[in-house]
Amino acid sequence: MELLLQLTVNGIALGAAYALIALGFALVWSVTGVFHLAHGGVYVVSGYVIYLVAVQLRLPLAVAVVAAVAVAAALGWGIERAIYEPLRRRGAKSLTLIVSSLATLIFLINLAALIWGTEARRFEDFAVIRGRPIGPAFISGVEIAMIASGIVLFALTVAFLLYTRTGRAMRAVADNPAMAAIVGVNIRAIHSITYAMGAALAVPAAFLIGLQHGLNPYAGMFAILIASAAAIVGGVGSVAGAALGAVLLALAQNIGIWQLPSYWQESIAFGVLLAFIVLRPQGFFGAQAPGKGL
Amino acid sequence: MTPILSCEGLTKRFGGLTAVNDLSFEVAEGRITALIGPNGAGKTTIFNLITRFLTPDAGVVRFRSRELQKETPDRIARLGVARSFQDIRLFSRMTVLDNVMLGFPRQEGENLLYALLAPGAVARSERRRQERAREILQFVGLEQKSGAPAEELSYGQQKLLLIGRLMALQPSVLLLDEPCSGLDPNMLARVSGRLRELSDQGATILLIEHNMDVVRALAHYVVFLSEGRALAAGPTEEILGDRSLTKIYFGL
Amino acid sequence: MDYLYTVAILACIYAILSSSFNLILGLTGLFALSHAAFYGIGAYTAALFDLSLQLPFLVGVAAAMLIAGACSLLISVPSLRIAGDYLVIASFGFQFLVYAVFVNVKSLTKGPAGLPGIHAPEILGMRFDTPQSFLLLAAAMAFLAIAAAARISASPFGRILRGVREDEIATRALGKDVVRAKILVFTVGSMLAGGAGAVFAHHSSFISPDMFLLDESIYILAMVLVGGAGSILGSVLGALVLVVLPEALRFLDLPSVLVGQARQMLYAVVLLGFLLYRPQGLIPEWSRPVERIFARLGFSR
Repeated sequence: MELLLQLTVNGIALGAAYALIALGFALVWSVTGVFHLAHGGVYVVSGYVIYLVAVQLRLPLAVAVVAAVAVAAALGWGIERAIYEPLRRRGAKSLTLIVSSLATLIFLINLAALIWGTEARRFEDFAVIRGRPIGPAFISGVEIAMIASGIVLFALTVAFLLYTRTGRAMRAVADNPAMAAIVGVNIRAIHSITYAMGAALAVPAAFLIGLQHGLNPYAGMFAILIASAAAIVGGVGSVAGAALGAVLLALAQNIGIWQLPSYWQESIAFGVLLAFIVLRPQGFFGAQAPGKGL
Repeated sequence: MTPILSCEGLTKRFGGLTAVNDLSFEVAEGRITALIGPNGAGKTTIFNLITRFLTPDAGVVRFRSRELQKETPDRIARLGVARSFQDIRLFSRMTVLDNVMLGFPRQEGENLLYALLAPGAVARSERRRQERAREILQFVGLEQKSGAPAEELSYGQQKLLLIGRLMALQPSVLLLDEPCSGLDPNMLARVSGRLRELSDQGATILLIEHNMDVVRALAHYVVFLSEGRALAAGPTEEILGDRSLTKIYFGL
Repeated sequence: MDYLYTVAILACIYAILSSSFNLILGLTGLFALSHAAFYGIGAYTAALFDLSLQLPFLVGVAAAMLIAGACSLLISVPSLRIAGDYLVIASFGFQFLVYAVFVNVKSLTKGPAGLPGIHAPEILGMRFDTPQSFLLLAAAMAFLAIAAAARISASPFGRILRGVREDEIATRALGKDVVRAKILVFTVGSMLAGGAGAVFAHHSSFISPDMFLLDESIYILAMVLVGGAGSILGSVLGALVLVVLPEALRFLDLPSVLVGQARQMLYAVVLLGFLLYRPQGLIPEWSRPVERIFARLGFSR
């Protein structure tokens, strides 16, 4: 039972970090309709930017985080402006956009691998928060930070969507782009903001997961698999669902180890995803699976 | 006159909105029936319910004596109830000829093994179908365009191709969603002329139409809808001559 | 000289992979990230049939195709019933799952160490153990696979697939069982990839899990889009170009550890360049005359 509790704690913490990646992905997916696989590349690069500034250049961590947020946002914005938008202008279908997104993911991951190598890079200890026991289990400082940043940033994102002008415009575009354009929403600007914001949300996740496991360029593949699976499990178009989906996937992965050898951890996520596609294709919060009717 | 297609008590709700409300009507074999009514009367929804692109909340659709409850959209088309879409939905990056060819039912070579192992037989049947498709294109006046991609057609030509594509299916009932909307007078005459001729050859057509001149010229029967209900149904002159209905139609 | 034969053999294998993936992606408009997984399943099946069961080459090829096809149902049946991006993500996850199986089911696959010592193929007493003879065999296999793909593309079944790509709902409204067509083409494409895997296993005589990663799927994807989505001949050309092009990188004298990454970046850039500036690929689907001539190869039409 102790082990189960420990695994649950680990799962919730990791899930909170995944949720931040999934949040950005789901935001982009619902507002712009692009299955933004390149988000995994942004995630990887932002982790290495923190590493570059904080470890290699020995600047303060706060500077590193600010730099990473700036780079990530610029990257997200740049991908939209340099790749998706020109393709859309040429009448590309969603299939073309996914392929271009995948190519961008591959490019960014291999760029990171070229610069920083494929060996995992470890952060020095940035322990500002001390770990503490929870009953018989233990929660590490990084895990506390994961859960705290997950909750805070999720709440901020939701508040942003509900209460700010830009956030409401984003929801309008997600709901009905044509109608939003008619009432005067600048779709192009909203798209760009969405990409930048989604990218920025991945930064804390990249840093905290990096602290725990080290940085590895290919982790971007798995990160985007989890993020997109979480978005589907949560329900297409539901940002809150994506976050919940991420926690569920992380819990399933961690609790899975209770019974299965740990190397099946990644495959468990696939099992959960497949179960959802079969049993509840609309996810937690989706009203209807796309394309079931008209 | 025996009905070939009938709806009984058809109901569809979207959230709080009842789009189709306990609707019953019949389509007579070999005749043109028009569904008319103000915008939002649920006309396109009815097509979606008949062809099962939407599932009704209540009610029965009967084709011949068969109930269509358990069928899927593709099976309903194979049974002989074919529909068009208001937004046309041609296969834009396929040739005009291929748009028609895809419509033929039960083609040899749609079966994968047959396509792989009996190319000779498939090629022979393809030649037969090509001939037939060219006849159809001639009927709708697009034989000159057969090699062009469908996206290069004008709007009116696309509407003609739409009819050609459905003809290839040789359906017992044609459901046409505004086949004449948005056409200039010249094209309108061409499209309605083709529909008239199909009807003269014995086709059964159920039509959604806003242009009352077209309805008057083509339809034998009219079903008048408002807010998802059939307010009246009967021979065309009778319904179109009813002042109280025209008032509703124009929102007076 | 042997080096040239190896390049030619690889071109044959990738021609099978790209033309089969084109059936799924180019013709039907389905995007999957798992083609390399089915390629790997085929390779492992053929290797095990050879090493553990000592069965003849052609039996191994047949088994590779059947097992790859059967595995493809695991993702196609659930996700193709629903429209949208579900296949992308299911196939992406499947790619991870297959890798985990290759690495971790050690009793069968020997894990990361891989399976060495796969024998040269033998058909009716003829051994294909020289590069020259193997090239002949690989070319014959490629011809069969490409001819099958071209035949499907030119058939009424292929027309349904194009209809699905252009407008799935309209295709349904014309009475075509689109779900069945999608599952079927995904199965056939995966079977052909499995067959390519069998040929590859016997060619390289050694296989390991990292030969069938997502990178491979991307490589195949690039071949299809460079050649021209929807054009089977284009896929063959795309395979040729992308097998030969990276060989040029060998002469650039990059440190060997970087070659892998540089290649991947090259594919990504080539892909993006084509999507932006020549989305129809080298041979557009619309150059029908070329396709027609090609479709006649080995046909009675």
